[in-house]
Amino acid sequence: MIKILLFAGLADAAGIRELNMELTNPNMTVENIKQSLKEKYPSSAFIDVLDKSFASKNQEYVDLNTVVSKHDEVAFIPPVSGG
Amino acid sequence: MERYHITYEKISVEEVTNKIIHANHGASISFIGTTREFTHGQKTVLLEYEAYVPMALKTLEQIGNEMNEKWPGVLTAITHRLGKVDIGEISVVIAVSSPHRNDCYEASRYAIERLKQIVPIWKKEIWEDGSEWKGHQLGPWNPTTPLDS
Repeated sequence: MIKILLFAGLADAAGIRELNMELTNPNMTVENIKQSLKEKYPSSAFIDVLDKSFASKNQEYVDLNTVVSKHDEVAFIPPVSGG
Repeated sequence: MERYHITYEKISVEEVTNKIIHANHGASISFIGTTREFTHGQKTVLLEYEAYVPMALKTLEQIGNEMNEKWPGVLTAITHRLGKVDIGEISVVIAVSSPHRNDCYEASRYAIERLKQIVPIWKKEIWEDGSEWKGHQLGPWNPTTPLDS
């Protein structure tokens, strides 16, 4: 299982902050997860924010081609606004 | 005494600053970020902050390491508040010290700009008639590029 985390506007639009996803193939990428999320939460509110978000794997920013493995923690991070 | 800290409590500027006071450092700056009532004419009644806490702590530490490469020897402590924050209260304190003031001013500015670029913390403005998660205000968002580019 891969743990997926959503935050801020992304969590609000999905109505969920955390979910688990099965590793469907050994070459599964962050992009694959992103596409699955779009199918699961097809609202334009969700997809708009998701497309502006960056991904992280195990708390490091990664690009969409990054391969994931079992027990990874993948987060989608909307544009940040701390300070 | 962790130098990078996330809290739901009110922030004490003195407590953060004390973490970086050093006998060989003649300059220290504490940047204080407070919540603003009016943004572009819209009246905010409350702000609420959320974070991806473990990654926020990692990226705060990363900023401290970057500062040490750019301005060797600077000491940095950063505390960011989460949860509901009333108008005029402190949301972030960045304390920096260095042997001489020039490095200190430059490093302090770098820290807040970098924080706003890469640290996974979000601010929700709550108005009398609605609310909105604020996004990054610095153009197209890419947390993997250096600040200058």
